[in-house]
Amino acid sequence: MHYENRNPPEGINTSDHSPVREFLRLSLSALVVLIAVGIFLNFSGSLLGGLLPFKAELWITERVDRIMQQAEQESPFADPVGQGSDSASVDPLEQYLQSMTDKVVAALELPEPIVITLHYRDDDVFNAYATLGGHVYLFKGLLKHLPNENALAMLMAHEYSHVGQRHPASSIGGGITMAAGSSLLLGAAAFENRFFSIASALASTRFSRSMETDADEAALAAVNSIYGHVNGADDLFELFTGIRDDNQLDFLDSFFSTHPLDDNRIQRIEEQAAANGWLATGAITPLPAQFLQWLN
Amino acid sequence: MTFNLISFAVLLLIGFGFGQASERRHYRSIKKREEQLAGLAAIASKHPPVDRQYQQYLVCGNVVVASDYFKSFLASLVNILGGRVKSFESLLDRGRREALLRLKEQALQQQATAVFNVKYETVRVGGRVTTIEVLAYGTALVPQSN
Ligand SMILES: [Zn+2]
Repeated sequence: MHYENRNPPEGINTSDHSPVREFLRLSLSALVVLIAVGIFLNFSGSLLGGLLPFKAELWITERVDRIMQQAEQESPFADPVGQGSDSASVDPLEQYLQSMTDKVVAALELPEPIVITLHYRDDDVFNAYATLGGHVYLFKGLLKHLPNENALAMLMAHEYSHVGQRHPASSIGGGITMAAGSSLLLGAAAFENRFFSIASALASTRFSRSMETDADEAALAAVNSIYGHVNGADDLFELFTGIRDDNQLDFLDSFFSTHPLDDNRIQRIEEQAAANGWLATGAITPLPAQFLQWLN
Repeated sequence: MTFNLISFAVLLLIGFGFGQASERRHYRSIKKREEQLAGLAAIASKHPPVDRQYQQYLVCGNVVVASDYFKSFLASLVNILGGRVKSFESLLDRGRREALLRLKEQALQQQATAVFNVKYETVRVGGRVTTIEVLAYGTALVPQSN
């Protein structure tokens, strides 16, 4: 008997393929799948987050507050405006901010369980944001540039509307499902990094454009009902444009990156005012004379 | 994050460059030696010829081949999306052919005229980048000189 090995023709056990084309095809498909899954996760998380009762938000922030204080860490929810430890010497700034808050909350007609807890941050950051549990943060760096009370009311009303429309819960809900999804892919560390640092979770509360537009709309209506006109509300957005042009302040503030372009916002609120027949002119209410001293 | 992305891209490029080059080099060597060793038959059959008496020895050819970062990344994408893992087909093909060549080299040293009952085993070894061991073994038949 005769035995032999014949050399096999090439290309039967291996596929003749261009690795680069294969790489591009696979990466692009994977990217498309990832984006689709990401959008779905974010959407469903936002939906679920928005369905949480406001009481659940409060429960979360109170727990975080307690845990952080027990661990002797600085809680972001501690020390809100109007609840100073020494009630005899209430800070005039806090008093003023609280009275403005009361006015704005009444004008916004926030539904019953929603409570705004305002925090003033003596920090030269040009920022303001709203997060879970109705906690809203106003920074000195932004307040000191406000030209009048109407702009302050617009700012407050905008942030409080985010709370009233449950945007923080939606945003964080979407963030949690996204992080959980990415931890499936990248390991649990990705999830922990993102969500076990409370400060970063709060600061990373990001709102979509449509949320910002909704907040602007509700805010403008509130400003109109407080002052009888909407004059001065757009000063807030003019201020953003001015700050941006001056190029002096921290551009990475989340306020800038997530909010729609100032010009569009100004145009939109003008249209909204015109459509509702709200007065675009009217007496501007100045800030209290000592406002800047209070800040410093 | 940026650092991770950069190191990922660098690993991918290194893997692609060196991996493709070494694969081409390996295939050249495999084809050359396959022709040189074509005279020695390695057969899967369990029934050796009975025309005469043979000494029988166990011969093994063993090789460990690493894929590269690029191939492994492609394979992990296929793991998600499904389909043929083309990037590993050549890896396993090289592994089997190299293992058989080594088996034949060993058999030739023993003056074997054929190897029967040839079988393969494949094992995955090593960590981050897929590395395989292929073992080919069989029974070498050495004609008894009497
Ligand atoms: Zn906003």
